[in-house]
Amino acid sequence: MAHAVLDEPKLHMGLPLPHGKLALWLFLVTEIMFFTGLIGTYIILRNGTPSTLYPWPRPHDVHLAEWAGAVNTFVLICSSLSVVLCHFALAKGQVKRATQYMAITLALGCVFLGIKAYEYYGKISHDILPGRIFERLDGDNGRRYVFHVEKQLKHIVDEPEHHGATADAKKAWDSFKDEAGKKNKEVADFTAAAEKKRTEAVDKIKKEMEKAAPSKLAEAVNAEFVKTEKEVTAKKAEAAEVIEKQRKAVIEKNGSIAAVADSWALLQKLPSLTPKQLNLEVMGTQDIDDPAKPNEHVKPCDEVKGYKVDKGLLQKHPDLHVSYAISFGNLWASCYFAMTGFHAIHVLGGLVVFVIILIMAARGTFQPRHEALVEYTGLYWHFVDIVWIFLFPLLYLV
Amino acid sequence: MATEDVAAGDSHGPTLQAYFIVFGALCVFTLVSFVVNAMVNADHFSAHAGMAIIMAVAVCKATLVIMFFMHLKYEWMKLYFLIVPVVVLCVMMMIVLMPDIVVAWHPDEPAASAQK
Repeated sequence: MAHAVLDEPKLHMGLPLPHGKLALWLFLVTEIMFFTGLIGTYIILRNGTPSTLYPWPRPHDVHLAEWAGAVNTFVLICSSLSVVLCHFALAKGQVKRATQYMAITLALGCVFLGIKAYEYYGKISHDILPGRIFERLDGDNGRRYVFHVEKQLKHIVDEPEHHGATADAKKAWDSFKDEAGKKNKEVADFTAAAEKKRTEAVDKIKKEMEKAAPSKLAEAVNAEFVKTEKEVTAKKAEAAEVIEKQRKAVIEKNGSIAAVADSWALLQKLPSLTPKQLNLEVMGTQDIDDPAKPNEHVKPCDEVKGYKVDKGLLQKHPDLHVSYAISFGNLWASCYFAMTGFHAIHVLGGLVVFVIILIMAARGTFQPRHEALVEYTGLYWHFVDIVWIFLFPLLYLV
Repeated sequence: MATEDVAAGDSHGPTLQAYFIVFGALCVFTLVSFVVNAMVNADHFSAHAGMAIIMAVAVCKATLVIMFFMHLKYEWMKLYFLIVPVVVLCVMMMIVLMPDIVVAWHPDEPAASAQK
């Protein structure tokens, strides 16, 4: 009997796993659920958006650089490799090599965050932030859009050097503006003179006809108003034509001022446009290569029927900072910043642990017995990598 | 109460060569998904086909990382009880929300014929 009992292996309760590994895997599965909440919601929201009238933003609309995502993916894959090599080296007792691999992992993690910071800077400078993207241009938001674009156009017009103009071009442009100002003053003077003449004529008519032929008074006065209006409108149209010809001539001679000149032209037109018309002026309604086809990238929130613009400002000058309506832009921005922001925080947490390990190494307290620590750190880091492996295609590709 | 497992878990594991092979495969997969995306943008693939390929590639990459870098291939028997319910929950979370959000009727979307 005793013999049989001694032969039996001792039975243990629990799992054949170290505490640390079990604890870390438990943590990782909760993190998986956390990111599933974020990523799954994004997948569902995106698949749930109607896509013909209101398409999901294109990468171009929201200043998304696919190359940045691809480089970040490569950086994280390399850092996953280096952290696993660190563990491998430490398991073999090679503390110095393990420290080197850990330093490489930290450096790669910092590169990842650096590229992310560059991307965020790009978004912020283009105002691609949740709540700040114009979408429907109805009511108050339409008016806000007009103010916003007006500010952007004024900025372009006020700083020609920042938008590619050479010094000569700027000089030619300034003289054009002086000419245009003179022409506008001419029109204003003409209008004032015409209105003064009209007032005198109306007074004369009133004096003559009030007693003599009162029934014909209104007709005669109205005729004066119509005559003056015709003259003023003709003068304004003539002036506008002359200014436009001069503007085109300036662009012909000084190509580098084109962006500023076109922005200026739109700025002059702006007060007479509705917000949605302004959006179409910015985007261009016709395809830039084939004016017979509509611009397939223009999917304004509500099509302004019949309003046609040949070449929108951004079709002619794609690099200008002028906003346009981006349907689902704010939802996109919220999803993007929530997912990449939380992921970046997780990356930062991993970097903190790497720094701790490197400090231990600097102090000489990093030993092969810390293999478990490095293994668990590696597990966390691989999880961060996997999240990015899913984030990258969902956000940057297709 | 988990026990210290000295003999079984840690001395098994991928060789150094295996790590580098997996790394190479991950790089290749990343390139494939980038190329497929470029082809979708140039209209060689439809958006749906491209999406399916790219997501399949992402799942392959994640599987490689989990199996080899995270040692799950060698420790599956000790950890599956954690992983399997989580994967089920993840997939179900998305499926369960689909009827309300993806398949639901969208009042703003006029019929395609009315658009033309």
